[in-house]
Amino acid sequence: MRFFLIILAAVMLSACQNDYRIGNHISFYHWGSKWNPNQIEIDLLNKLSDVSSNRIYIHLFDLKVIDGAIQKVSSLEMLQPIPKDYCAVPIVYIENKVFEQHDDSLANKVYEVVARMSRQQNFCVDELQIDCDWSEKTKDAYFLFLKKIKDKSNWKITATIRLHQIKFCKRTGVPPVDRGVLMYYNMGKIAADNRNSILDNQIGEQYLDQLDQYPLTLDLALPCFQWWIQLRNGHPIALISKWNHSPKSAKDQFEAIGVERYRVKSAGFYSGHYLQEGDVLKLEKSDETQVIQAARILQKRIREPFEEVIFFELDSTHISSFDASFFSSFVLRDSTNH
Amino acid sequence: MRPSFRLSYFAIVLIISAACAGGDFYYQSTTNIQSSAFVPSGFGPLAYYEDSRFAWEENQFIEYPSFNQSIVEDWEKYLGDQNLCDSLSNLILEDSLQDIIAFEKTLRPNQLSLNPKFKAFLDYLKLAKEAESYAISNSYNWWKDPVNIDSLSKTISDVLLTAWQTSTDDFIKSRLEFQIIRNSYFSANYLRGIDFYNRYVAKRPQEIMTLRSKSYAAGCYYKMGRYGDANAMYADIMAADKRFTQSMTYSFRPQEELDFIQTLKKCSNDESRICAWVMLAQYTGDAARAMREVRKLDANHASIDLLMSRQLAQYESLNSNKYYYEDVDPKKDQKISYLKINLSNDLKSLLEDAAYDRKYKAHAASSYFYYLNEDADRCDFHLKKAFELRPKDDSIFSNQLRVFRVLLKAENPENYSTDDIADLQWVFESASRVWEGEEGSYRAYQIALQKLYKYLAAKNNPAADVLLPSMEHLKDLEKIQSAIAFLDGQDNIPLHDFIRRNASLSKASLYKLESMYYMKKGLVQQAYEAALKCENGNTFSGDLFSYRIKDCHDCDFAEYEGPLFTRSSFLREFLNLEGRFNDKASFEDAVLIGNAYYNLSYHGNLRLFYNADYSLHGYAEYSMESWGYYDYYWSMNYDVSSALKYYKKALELATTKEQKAQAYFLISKCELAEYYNNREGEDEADFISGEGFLALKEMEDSKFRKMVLQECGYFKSYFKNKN
Repeated sequence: MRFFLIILAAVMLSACQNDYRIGNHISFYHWGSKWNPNQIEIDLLNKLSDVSSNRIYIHLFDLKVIDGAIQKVSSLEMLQPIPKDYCAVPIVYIENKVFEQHDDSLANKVYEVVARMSRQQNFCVDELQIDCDWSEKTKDAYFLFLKKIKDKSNWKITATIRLHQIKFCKRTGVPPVDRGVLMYYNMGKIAADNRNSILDNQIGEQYLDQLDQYPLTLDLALPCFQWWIQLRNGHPIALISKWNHSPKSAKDQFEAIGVERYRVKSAGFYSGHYLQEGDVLKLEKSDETQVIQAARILQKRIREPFEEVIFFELDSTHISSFDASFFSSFVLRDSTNH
Repeated sequence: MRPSFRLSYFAIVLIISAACAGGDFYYQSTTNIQSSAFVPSGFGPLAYYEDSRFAWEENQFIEYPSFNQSIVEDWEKYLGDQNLCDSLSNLILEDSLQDIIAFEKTLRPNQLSLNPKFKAFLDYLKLAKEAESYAISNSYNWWKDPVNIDSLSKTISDVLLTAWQTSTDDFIKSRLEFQIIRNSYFSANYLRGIDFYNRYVAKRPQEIMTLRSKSYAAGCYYKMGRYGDANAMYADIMAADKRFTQSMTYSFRPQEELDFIQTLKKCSNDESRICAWVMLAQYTGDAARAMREVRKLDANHASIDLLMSRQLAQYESLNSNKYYYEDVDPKKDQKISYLKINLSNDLKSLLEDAAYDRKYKAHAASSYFYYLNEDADRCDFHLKKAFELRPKDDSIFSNQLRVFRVLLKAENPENYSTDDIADLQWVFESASRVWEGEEGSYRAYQIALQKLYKYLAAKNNPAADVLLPSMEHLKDLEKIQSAIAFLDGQDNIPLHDFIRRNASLSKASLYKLESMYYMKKGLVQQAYEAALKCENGNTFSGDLFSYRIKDCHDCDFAEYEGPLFTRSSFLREFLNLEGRFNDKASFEDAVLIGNAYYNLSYHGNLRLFYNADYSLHGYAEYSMESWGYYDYYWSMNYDVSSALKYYKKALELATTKEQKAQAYFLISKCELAEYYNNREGEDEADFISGEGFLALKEMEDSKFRKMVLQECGYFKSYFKNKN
């Protein structure tokens, strides 16, 4: 009887440990304006090569409406080549307002730029991901754009899908693309309160009822990043991301006023950001427990594992607090090199 | 499948409606601070828009000051009577290199040899245009292959350098220097740009051309990561010529505190350091820190007023947006205390500082600060001091004080004097004066109106409803009639006269509301009598007594060629029909009356009958109370019950199969409209089968049924689905 109980406990423990393995492969997003991976980032890619899809999703540029015209901003600068054995998939972020501009030739223009930049940078030239938080108002224009770019390029086109676009897919529509990527993060309001706008599983869970019925094959994007919210007079005024500054250790300049909250004691520029005396900094991050919990929630809502779990984002300021085994633990076949 | 009209209708309701009724107001003007009253003219561009705090906070892009005019003027002066061009401005600012070459070909050879300055000008301009091809941002052609700057710049930089070496004309030479340094900046030859600047330009007098060259040299430092050097040069340029204020401020970008400390060390003088602090305040919003530091350098510097007014504007903004901030953070009062304490201390300190000689400005700022803190006594004290000490010839500042006085007096409308009412009228008219560039549009007027409204409404004074009409008028006959009586009154009370002069509602608008009210109640005779009193000859389009198988208002308006009805003539015709029907009921008249009622609903072509014609003073969009009124509108304008009643009478009176088919179809239209009226907005078609459709479906041999099947897609689909 005792033996049986031990076996049962082992089985249960094993089941518990594996219940968030939700993808066949993993990969990463890179969202900086410069591709210049440091050793920590390269090491992580090497350690995960066995479970990786061998793809890195790299943000190429943004399209935004500035002064009433569509403009390309935040173009990628390649300071290093893409690591051997890896294929870089370009991503173009398009601000929703762009699709209020009625530019019939937008798909052609994006195609021209992506094709040219991909050729120059040795990217995967057969795939493009479009990131746009479209609305009901811009849906038709956005979907037409996606169709046109597919027709023009014959590339595999993927699109990011936000949680509300899953829950209200009848209203928001389903983009005409080859695959979607469910962005399971940035789900809350950026505010002074104690909630976490990056990852809040209580909120996330509310949007997943229709996930298994979503009529588009999805990959999954999970967060592994942090940012600081700069609050002034109780109001969020800026997001500080990839910040190489530690308020915790600079006690002359910052006063700890709560969990991951600091008040600025002396005004000044801190690693590129100006903080005013009295400003409050609130740290938000996705920690391992929360991300695993997210995967467990998603696991219950899907019929088949995701082909790819993409972590946002490949940057040492974010990933240094995660071990390689953490990332590989989401993959159904676990065989990292470490 | 209700179309999107419900939303658009709500938008219309918001626009036409006045929904104050003691609620909270949506303010269109965001500030009571007129920047130019505080800001010295040299720093003016930093607060160009009256309602801006700091440009970056408002996400507004202020136009960069343009040197185009001075460039053209300089050339005109240089060329003098050797100018061979009709429009030098076009040639310099608009024309391309090809245009200039083409223009040159139109000149006779001896014209250039006789006018060597013009030849030198053309040669320079061609070079400048060529150099510009990569210096100008290509962001509007983002999809095109970028110009290869490396190869282009190498060629042009050599040509520019040779031209500079061979030129003996100082005027041309200084412009070539600018081109060389700019070329170095855009071609990433930063060291060359800095070296050239230091060797040949740095020691020149600080004229515009030199300063423009210096700004590109500073840019080279910036690109090399030498932020202290770059920012100190930007500050020096701004200190030397305030016309560079905006362009330098937008270039100024310290990255670390150390950069800024270096900047201060490297600035040429205290004026330049003050400019660095002002730019820091502009860039970061930290006017409080900048003001304290500027005062250490020069306790009476003009920029202190700018920095003081910006702090005040920040405090105003935080107070004004209390609904938003309360939503974000319910402990708003605690949060603003930091800003409040700082500003309070700074203002006190300024008033006590003997070296600061514009105390009237600090008193004015203190007055508004205490107004925002709801401390009327201190507000009044500082306001009086400001009036007393102000320079009498500064009309802009005096007007600013007048705005603050309006706010203070609005706290207690019962004590309004004739002068106070004159102030109110003056602020009211400021919105039109803003277009003439004289002054700002103040929030004060809206605040004063709100307070006046609350005061009058509490006393049940009908003037309140005329001052800020509410949707109450649409459902309260007594209010409509008392407002009319108020407008007719001649009590010679100055406040009442002010309200009558500035009333949002005219008597005609009120009678129109009365006619709407009566019509809604089915009292057509009274509606007609009210309509006669607001008759203005405006006609409604289309045939108001007809129907279409498929509703199409545009078709009604385009195709109808019969007589058009005004509000009163429509109601008169309606009364005639009703009278005839009551005397002898007929199928035809029942249909006509039913059609009129149907057309009066949102679904029909006379929906404008229920449009009020006064503007919104009402609730912010987020106010839940406004949604309550929205429901009232919904029931009023979408209601088709009267139409249905008459179509049912028509059915009873129908004597032929075709008449019955027609009546059934019209009943089905009402049933469908009612169904959609009670249905939340969803996209999918949802076919219903009311009494009308079911009966019509059975009338297989009716010609009318056949016609409906041909024309009405809805009925056709219903048939298809149900068969």
